[in-house]
Amino acid sequence: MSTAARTINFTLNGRPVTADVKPHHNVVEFLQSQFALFGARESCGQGLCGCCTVLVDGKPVSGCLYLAVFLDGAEVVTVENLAEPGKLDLIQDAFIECGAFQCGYCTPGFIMMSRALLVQHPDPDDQQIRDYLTGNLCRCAAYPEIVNAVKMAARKSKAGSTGRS
Amino acid sequence: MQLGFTMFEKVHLDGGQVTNASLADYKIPGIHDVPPMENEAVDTYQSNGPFGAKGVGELATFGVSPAIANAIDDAVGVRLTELPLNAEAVLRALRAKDNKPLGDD
Repeated sequence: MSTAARTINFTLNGRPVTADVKPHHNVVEFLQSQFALFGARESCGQGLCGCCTVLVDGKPVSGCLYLAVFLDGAEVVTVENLAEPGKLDLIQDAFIECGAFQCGYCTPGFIMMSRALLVQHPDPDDQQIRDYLTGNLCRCAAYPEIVNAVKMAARKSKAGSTGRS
Repeated sequence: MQLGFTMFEKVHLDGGQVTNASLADYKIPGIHDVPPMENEAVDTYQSNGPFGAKGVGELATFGVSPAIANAIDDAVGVRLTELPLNAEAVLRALRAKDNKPLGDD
């Protein structure tokens, strides 16, 4: 296998970018070293904890296992993607409002997975939330607050889309 | 966290080497493992803390393991004194109580 860097083009948080990537680099290493994005963190390195979750073409993937070269041509969204510059999105706000973390290490992963969840199920019940987030581990066990936060974000998103505040 | 130490988490050692040093083999509680919880504040005065304040956080871990051990004792009459209090530990204790202890493998 050649270890020569390859040049890839993709969309990162809405911005078209070009970068050189080694064939063995995973998405976490790539985002950290080339773009100084530290939201997706590697924790277990085995795709078991969800801390490194990023969205690739809308699909949540484990950044520790997903090879960066596969991002060529894709649309990539990380936790750093905000509603607008300087303004947190509904889910990020809801996590803060519900206190859905203690140490915060797992939070970017939970937020990315929750974004994917709310696209698929805009009005999820408790069971759907738990089932969807089962691949994300939180050592502080803030799970009940996380479920509340996702429900709050769903409520606010619904209220926003029907014109109520 | 303490629920994990109590119910699931066991470090396996082989000649001083940890043999389950990954989240695949060392299971910690996931979102389905944590039951609904209620918090109750107990008024107390910590004489050596500022304004009588006491630390919060992992202090609350102390009660979890004894509570679950007591519940197991209450339910099936075996007293477990070693964590984790998992299904295997309960079965071993029950068999030992019946004088039919399980072997080690």
